[in-house]
Amino acid sequence: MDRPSRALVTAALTALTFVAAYPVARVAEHLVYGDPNPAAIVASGRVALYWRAGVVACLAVCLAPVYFERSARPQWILTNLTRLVAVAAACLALQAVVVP
Amino acid sequence: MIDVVTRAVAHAHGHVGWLAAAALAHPAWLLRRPVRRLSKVAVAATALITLPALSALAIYPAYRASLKQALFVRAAHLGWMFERKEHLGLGAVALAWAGLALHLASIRAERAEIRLPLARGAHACFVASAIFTLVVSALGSWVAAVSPF
Repeated sequence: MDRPSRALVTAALTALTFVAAYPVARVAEHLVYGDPNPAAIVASGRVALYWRAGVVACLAVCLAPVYFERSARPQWILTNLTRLVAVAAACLALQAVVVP
Repeated sequence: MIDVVTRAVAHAHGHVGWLAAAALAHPAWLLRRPVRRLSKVAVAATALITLPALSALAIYPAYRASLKQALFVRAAHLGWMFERKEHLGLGAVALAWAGLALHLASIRAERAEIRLPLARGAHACFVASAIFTLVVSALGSWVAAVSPF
């Protein structure tokens, strides 16, 4: 696989990591803090989509190259790509059902 | 108070969201055959799902300042539904970009043992993105019908 292709796959894995990690961050936030009183929801600033997304995106950008570009077995990742997509999508769907 | 421009952007955001759901159905359906090369379709669908995401970024401060608290106070379940919509929307955009990247990588790949998993991964990404976009558009329309911007 040439360098641009590896970069494209790494970018895709970054996006998939984001999709898988974002719901985990949201569920962790829910478990630690619970959900705020609706009347105070803006003042509390707790439902902060930007913050969650930013932190998880940074995490994904750092992680994806590590487990693909430096992996000893990149072929394993390619072979299981569809499963990784399914797991990421399932994480997000499950979070949306369980935690708002 | 929400100004006319923000209101117009919010309306366009909703309409383009439904367009994106329709557009994403194309690569989701056509890429079920891994040999197909659909870079233009994939780019167009990804661009269409990115547009409402960008417009959402533009109107989010106004929504947060003028509408969010009122929505939660009036009907908390609608507010939480809107939160769900935002989460799923982020996921739909990320999955579409992942699908585009994997599809372009599969087009570049010469060996079948690399090309096929990439193409299948791209297809899975577009299917998931299309489903999430459909759910997001439906939730957005529901909330907008009950509590317009």
